[in-house]
Amino acid sequence: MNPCDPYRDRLAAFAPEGEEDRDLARHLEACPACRSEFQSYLALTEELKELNLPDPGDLYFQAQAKAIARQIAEEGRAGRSQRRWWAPSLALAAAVVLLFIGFSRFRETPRISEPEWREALQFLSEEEGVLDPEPGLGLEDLSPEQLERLATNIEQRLQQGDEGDLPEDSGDWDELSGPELDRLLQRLNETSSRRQHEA
Amino acid sequence: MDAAEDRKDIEAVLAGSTEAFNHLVKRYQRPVYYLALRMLRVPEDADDVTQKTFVKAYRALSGFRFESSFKTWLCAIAINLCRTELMKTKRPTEELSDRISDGGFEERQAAEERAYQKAHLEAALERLPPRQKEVVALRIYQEMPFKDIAKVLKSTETAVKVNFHHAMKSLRDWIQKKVHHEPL
Repeated sequence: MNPCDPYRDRLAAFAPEGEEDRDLARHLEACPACRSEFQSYLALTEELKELNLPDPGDLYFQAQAKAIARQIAEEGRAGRSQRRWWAPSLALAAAVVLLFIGFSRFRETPRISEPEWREALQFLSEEEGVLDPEPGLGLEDLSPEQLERLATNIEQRLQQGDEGDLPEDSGDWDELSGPELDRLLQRLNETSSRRQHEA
Repeated sequence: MDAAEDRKDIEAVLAGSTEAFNHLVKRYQRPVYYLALRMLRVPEDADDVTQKTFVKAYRALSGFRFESSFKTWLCAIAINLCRTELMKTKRPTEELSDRISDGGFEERQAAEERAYQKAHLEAALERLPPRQKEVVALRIYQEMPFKDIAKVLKSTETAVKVNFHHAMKSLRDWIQKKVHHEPL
């Protein structure tokens, strides 16, 4: 076996300062071939760093920061106005929506099955306004875009009211894998049951 | 980037200060934007992802546990949004021949040669598999330690290093092919 073999795969990721790989550092001191290869990676790193992206300029970033601030302010206002009627059974709504999303995604059926949507409609009629911004629409009538907005809307309210219901601090529902979605559904159902019991 | 400053701003945001969130935006909007631009290549899409990243971060801020740096956490959100964007648009991989005109390498002037090399490397970077491209973007352009990249990509440090190694080796091999005038 070539004595350099154990080191070759570590050369590209080696950083002479800051990160520790003393064994490799010692080998580099003794082995000109590996040292030369390591230097080729350093040169490549420098070349890559020189691939500058266009700088849109300070004004652009100022405008971008303002746009973000505007969205945050809107979120804050929406949160305050919605909090009053924020229902303890919101988790149930979320669970219903997630069930819909789960069914449509993993069973590849475009619509929720009848028992689920009937239950959802019943819930909607009892809790009018909970599922804004699409009042009067049943879940089975929602387009994927409307459903996504709805899910986002519920996600925001859940986070404003009870962050513990969401499993990922940075995750998006539509980015969850099957098992993650299952876990989230389970948690929402548990929360829903707990809240109903408490009520 | 000062972790203590981030913590102070985050705590202020959680106590209701939107102004403190603006500080965080101003501190990190450039790295997030350039990461997104590196991944997506389209400035409008990078802008969109940057804005979404901060809005999502704001919504989920109470879930931030200070187990990583705020920047690492933001990058994780941005990478997820970039992946979604890439899946939505399914960008075609550009062939090198689309970006680099044919012609004798030797006849080119020094400036042209440099431009050629850059374009070649840029195109080679584009051809990396998505995960390798993410690792390169975070390591080279965000100068992130491997352990933080592992957090962003929900992977292990070893796996990230292996990805980085493969990416760098592929890039180097492509460049060497170019030097020897082999077809790509």
